[in-house]
Amino acid sequence: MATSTEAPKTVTLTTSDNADIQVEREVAERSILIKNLLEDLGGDSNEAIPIPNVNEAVMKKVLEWCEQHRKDPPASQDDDSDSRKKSTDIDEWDQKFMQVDQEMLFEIILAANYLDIKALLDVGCKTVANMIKGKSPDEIRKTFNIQNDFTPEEEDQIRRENEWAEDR
Amino acid sequence: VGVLRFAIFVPFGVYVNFAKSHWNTIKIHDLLQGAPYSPLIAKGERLAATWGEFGFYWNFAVWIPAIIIPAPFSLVFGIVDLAVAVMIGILTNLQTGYAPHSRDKCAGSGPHYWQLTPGTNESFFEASARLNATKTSAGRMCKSYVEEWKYGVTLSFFYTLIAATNIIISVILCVIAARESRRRQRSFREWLLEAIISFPRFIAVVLYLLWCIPVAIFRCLPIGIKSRTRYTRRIAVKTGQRLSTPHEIKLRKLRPNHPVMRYQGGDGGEPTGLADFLGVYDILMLVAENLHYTDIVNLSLVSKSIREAVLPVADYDRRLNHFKMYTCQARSRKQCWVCTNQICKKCKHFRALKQTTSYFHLDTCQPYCSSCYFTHIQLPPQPRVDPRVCRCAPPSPTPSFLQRLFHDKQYFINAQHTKHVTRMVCRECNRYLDSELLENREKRTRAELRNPGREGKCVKCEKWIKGVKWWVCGNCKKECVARCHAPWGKKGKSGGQETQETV
Repeated sequence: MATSTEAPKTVTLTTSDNADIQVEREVAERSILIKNLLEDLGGDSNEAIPIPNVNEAVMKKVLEWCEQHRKDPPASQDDDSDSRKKSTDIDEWDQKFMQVDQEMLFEIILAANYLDIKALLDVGCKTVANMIKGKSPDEIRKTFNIQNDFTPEEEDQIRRENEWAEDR
Repeated sequence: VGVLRFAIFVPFGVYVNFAKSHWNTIKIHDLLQGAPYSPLIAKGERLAATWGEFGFYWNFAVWIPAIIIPAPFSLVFGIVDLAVAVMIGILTNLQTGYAPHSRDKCAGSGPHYWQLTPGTNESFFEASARLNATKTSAGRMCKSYVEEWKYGVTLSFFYTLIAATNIIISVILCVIAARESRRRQRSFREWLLEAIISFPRFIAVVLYLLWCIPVAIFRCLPIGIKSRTRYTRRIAVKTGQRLSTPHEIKLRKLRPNHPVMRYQGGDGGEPTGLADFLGVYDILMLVAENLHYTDIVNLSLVSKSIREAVLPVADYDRRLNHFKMYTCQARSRKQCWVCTNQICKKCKHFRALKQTTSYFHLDTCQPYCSSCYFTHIQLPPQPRVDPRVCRCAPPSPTPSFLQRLFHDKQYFINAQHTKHVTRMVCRECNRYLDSELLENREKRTRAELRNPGREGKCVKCEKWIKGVKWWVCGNCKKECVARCHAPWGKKGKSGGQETQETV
């Protein structure tokens, strides 16, 4: 008989580098992919769930985010409205969470995409968008440490693509 | 000078008639050309006939041009006039030697004894009267020589007066013009050019005045006749304007899309983390949702690998459409006033730019269908004198030759609108100077004005216009007859609906 002091259910996730991570089911179910898998496996299965596209480090970061947002309401249809998409305001905790190196940031976003965690995906994409927004090509290069490999002629040609032309 | 020239038409004609008649008689009779009579008579009459005829036709030909042609060109007329006057003077002086100066001398036996050569029994007048078919008496022949001499004296005086006046006026005008040019710091070349233009300008003014007569009569006609006549004329004009457009449209359709203008990619460049990340289409679009269109444009300029991830050559057009759909704020998406970039409420920049002729038409003129035009614009309450043509637009800053006949360069400069209109441009265009923005936009504006698909719906009935398109000024509600507008609507189901509104 279930009581209020009963230990929370956990699930084991096996990452791409074969690390097993024990996590509360409620936290893991922030991922729609994991939630669907658990439902498919049945109620009390203790089987480890393989996550072949995410390594241990990234998985831990993703689960950290899920832990923080475990009580958040699930995403609704209204959330897809334009105002939500366009708002680049990010929660303070999320901002700190996203203060990682760029490689890790991209990995987290890709993992969120794979695990189908919409809110995390949104936060990640907003973070990247904020790093690009309002910047010139040169400033973007500096932000992401990218070398300009265009010749001046190529750059000029690309810029002219946006000029108005009659046969367009 | 014009009046004097006109006044001597008849005397000159009479003088030439006498001179030719005399010379015609003399030239066919050897007896009259030399001894026993003075050879000066033949010489004088020959030259009088030749120069008199030249002078007469010259005077007739330059009558109007001499009035309208300004200095220094009128000086040329003055010089030729002087030559004619000098020649007539010399000839009259020559005639003084052999022709009597009074008709009294031709009465009675006067002609018989006038310069009768010793040893002969008939004078020159008697001999020429005998040989002439018309003036068969010596007295009449004598009188015709007297008349010729008198007309010669009169013409010498008046033609000298004409030549002198012409030369003096020309010189005075030249001096005044030279001083004026110096004062206005105008070069001699400019002054000369203006002087040359003034001649066709005068012709144009005369033609305009002649044209005004039927126009004035037409404007007094009842409104029913006027409106129908104007309507028919305007349709004919618009049909004429439309005839030149179909082949252009055909050529445009045959052209490949973006032939070699577009960047064709290359080796793909150095792979980067960002390029790999944005290479996932779904992620790219999620990031794009939080960006503005100009950010995407700038992103595609970062490096080759990023360009390939964001705007791959093979998927260029589709991607651009997607970015236009996903970037910027949905409800306020517009096109930059200058380039093809999309802007929205959040990323637009305001620029106060000078209003020019093309932009005025683009901003102000509204399309009407034939039915609404005829009902609302052609039949106003009291249009008795009003031509119902809009004059709000400033004249072109680059006038044509015909326009310059009526006004000088300064007029067109002064007539330009000084008011500035706020335009919305993208971040990239905002970097340019006002003059650069206006220059970049001008070509596009002209093409947009000529585009039959622009503003395809009638502003009154809101139906697509497929036939004649009437452009009406939004300020004065009169028809805009500027040729810059598309005269006909675009054929087709929607009449060529524009996909995106320009700011």
